Parts: sequence; structure tokens; C-alpha cells
Amino acid sequence: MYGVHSLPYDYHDDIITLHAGPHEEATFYRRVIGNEKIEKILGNDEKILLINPVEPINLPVPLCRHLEIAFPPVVLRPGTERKIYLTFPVEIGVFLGWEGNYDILDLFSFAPVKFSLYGTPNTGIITRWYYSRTYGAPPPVDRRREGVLELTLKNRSADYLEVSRTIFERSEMRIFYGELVAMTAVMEIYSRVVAQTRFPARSAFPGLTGSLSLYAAQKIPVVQHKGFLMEHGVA
Amino acid sequence: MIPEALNLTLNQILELRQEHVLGNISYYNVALFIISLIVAFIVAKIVEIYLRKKFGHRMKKDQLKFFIRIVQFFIFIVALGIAVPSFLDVSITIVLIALAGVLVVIALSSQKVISNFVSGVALHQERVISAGDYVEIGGVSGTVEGIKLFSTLVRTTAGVFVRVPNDQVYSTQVSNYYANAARRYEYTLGIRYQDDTDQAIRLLTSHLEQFPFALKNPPPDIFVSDIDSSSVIIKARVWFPSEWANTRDDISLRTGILPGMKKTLEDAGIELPYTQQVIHFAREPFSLRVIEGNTGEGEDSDSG
Repeated sequence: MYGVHSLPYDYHDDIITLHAGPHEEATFYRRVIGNEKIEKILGNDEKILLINPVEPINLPVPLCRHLEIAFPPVVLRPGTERKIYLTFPVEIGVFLGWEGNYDILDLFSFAPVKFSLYGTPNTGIITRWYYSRTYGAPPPVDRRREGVLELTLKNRSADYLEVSRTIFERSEMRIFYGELVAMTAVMEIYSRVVAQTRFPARSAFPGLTGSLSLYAAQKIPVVQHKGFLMEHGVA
Repeated sequence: MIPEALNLTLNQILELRQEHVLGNISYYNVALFIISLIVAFIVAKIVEIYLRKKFGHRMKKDQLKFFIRIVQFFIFIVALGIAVPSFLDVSITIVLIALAGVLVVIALSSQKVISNFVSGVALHQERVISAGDYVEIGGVSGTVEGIKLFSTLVRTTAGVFVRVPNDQVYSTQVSNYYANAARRYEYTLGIRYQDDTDQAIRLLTSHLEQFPFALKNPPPDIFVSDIDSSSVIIKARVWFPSEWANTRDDISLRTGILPGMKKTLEDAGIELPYTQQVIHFAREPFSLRVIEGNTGEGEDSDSG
């Protein structure tokens, strides 16, 4: 399903049916998931359909800018690093293309949705919350529902630290897809309260393609990605 | 081709400069006055561009606009202060005295207007509310469309556009439902005495866990809050994202959650009881149990 497809395009599996192609005098798009059916009539110039995972903070309504992943506590010695693998929810974006331009046509997801508050009600932020088990190697996942996050935890403090959550800002995220959906991130922990998360430019998983982002900052090469500063705790 | 009337020599222009249009006011005074206003306009524009660059990323759009208007207003006041004395050919002291007199008259005759203006400045300064916030001002609830020079515009959830004078906003109690990221709602349900309250709490916790907008953190507080005459009262305090909760009427938010909670309990055999009353008659050999909703017929407990 993921990738760049010329129209007409048809896809069908156990949970989703997709069809895009000419119908009478226009291009027609139809997506069916269970009882939910979306139908759209498109223009005649559109020739390409791009389907890839996008930043998972848009559904059911775009309410927040951050993804929070909670996981079983990991204890880090002072000055050490540890690489762990987590899972994250996948939202799938269908983009319509013509002459090199792409615009979002449809968004859907099979992952559960839950929101949370990171920090206090007056200074905190609303996050899309997701719970993941912690793995020592990339876990086998259904790439339509979940992606694999390689997270490098770096304890920059002089104390033992317990870490059980990480938060990412939407414009920082770099999602890759192919055999699996993946992200690679680094979390530098400065204390029990403060940490910074960022995304290296390259994926740690070879052979994957970079997703087309929904958020503009990723598309502008001059924008510096400073990462997201977690100021309300790491556990 | 220059028209005859405009084909003036330099000498004629210099003569014209001294010629009086009205009383002591010469063409020169008029020209100077107009140039002063044009310069003030250009300066006001430059200042606007500078302020937008300087504060564009620090201040909200409507606050910045309000701030720029005030600065521009003072630029024009200063320009008039400089231009008017030369225009009227009077000393600046006389103009200042006249201006003070005019200001006193204006202040006395339009206290309410000035009060609204000052309140508007104070509201921008305090940043209690801003455009896009969902607020309650006095008896008016709705989304703030903007804080103008003299009034605050609010769009209610019923689609009514309400103009609230700024001094009223400043002096009355204001609730801003958007100020914080999350907002708490409280739900109350009564279950029968014989039902297991621990099980009810577990079921409600599990139900709210499935509801995407009931925040994971802070977690819902669900507890027995009271034992009243006919039921055990369970309260659920649930946090929601303010932005989500405030796009809906409170009523729809409550009706969206409560039926699910009720159904969850009923599916597990926990009932929400009718109001009941047990009446004992001191001298009669029977008692009556009245159940609300029935026709009021009594049940003789001794009659078998």
C-alpha cells in the first residue's frame, strides 16, 4: 500500500479497500474501512497517488502538536547511553499529486487514540499518548498500525535516572517507510525533569524511504531542528 | 503642457508663500501643516513595520495590532502638536493650554469612552483574554473575536455576536476556559445499595480509559462521594483538553459521556435506582414501600 502509485490504483486487504481512478468524466477516490466509507471526486489532472505514514497527531481531530510514548521504566547509570526499541501509532496519509506537487487527500489510522497532559494544566501541553513495551531489537509489528522507534537514551546527568516517557514535536518528526514504518530519535536527559528529544537526519534502518511530511518545517531545508525540550519530567 | 494657472515662476511662488489664505494663515503654513501630516503618516508606517518585525513573534496578532494603533495615535498627536502652532501662527504654549482645555472638556463629556479605552489597554496588558479564547464575561459565554479600542467582541455558541464594553470586561468576573491546556468536568451517578461500588468504579475507570479525549494524565478520579437516601453516589472527575472541550457546549460534552457510563454499569447488572422511600406506620400492622414512577399503590408486607 505504501509508496507512489500511478492512477488508476486499486488496493485491497483484510481491513481496507482503496480505489482511485477515472470514473465517467472525473477521477474518483474511494476508501472503505469496515463501515466507514469515504468517496471523493477529483480533477482530471491528478495522475499520482502517494501513500505514506505521516506524523501521528492528526486523528480523530488535530488537537495537539506532540506525540508522547510511555514505556516501562528504564534505569540509566550517570553518563551512559542505551538504545531501546519502542512502537508508535501510525497514521496513513494519502496524497494526490500532479506536476510534482502533492496535497493531502485522506488520512486514516488503525491505531487506538488517547490524549494526555504533559505538565500542569496551566503550563503543560496536550499530547497524543501511546503506550509501548520496550524491546532490545526491532519488534515485529503490523506496519499499517504501528511503527518502530529506535530511541537512544543518553544520561547527561551525574545521577541514576529512571526514564519512562519521551515526547516529540510534530515538525521534528522524520518518518521512514518500506518493509516497516520507522523513526530514529535521540533523547538526551539532563535531569529528572529536563530532557531533549531530536531526530537525526538519517534513519537507522537501511533501505527505507523518507515520508512526505504534513508539516511545513520539515520541507524547508534552512529551518534548524533544535529538537523538543521536555521540561516537566522524564518519568 | 502645464496649465496656465500652475505655470508659476519662483518669485511668484515666494510671493504666494507670504500670501495669507485666511487671517494669519499663509500658504506656507498650510503646506507645512500638510507636510507634517505626511511625515507623521510615513513615520507611523515605518514604526508599524519595525514593531511588527520586533514583536511579531512575541505578541499575539490582535494584541500587536492594538499596540501599534496606540503608538501610531501618539505619533499623530505629536505631529499635530508640532504642526498646529506653525499652522495657526501661535506659540506652542497657547496650543498646549488650548489642548489641555480641550482634553479636559473631552474627558468630562466622554468619561465612558475614555474608561473603555483605558480598560482596553489594561486588558491587553494583563492578557487575561485574547482572540480565539472561549470565555465567560458576566453572563456572556463565547469565543472572543477581538479586543478593539473600546469594546470586546464575543461570538456565542448560539451564533450571536455580542459587543461587551471594555470597562465592563475589566470590572466584571471573567472566566477564560482556554487559558489552561486541560479542563476538568465532574459527573455524578447513583447506584443501588446492594451493588458493588468497587466494581462500579473499576468499570467506569475502564470505560473512561477507552474514551480518547478523557486524558490519561491527570487520570480520572472516581470515588464514592455520598450515600444518600436511595443510592450510593459515585463521582467521576475527568480532565479533557480545553481546546476540545470548549469547542462543544457543556451540555453535549456531558451527554456524550454520561450515557456511555450509564450503559457500562447497566451492562454489568449495576442499576441506577429510582428514588425510594420506606414508610413505617406506628400503629398499623403493615408498612408501605413507595417507589417513584409507580402509581403509588402500596404493598402490604403482612398480607402475604
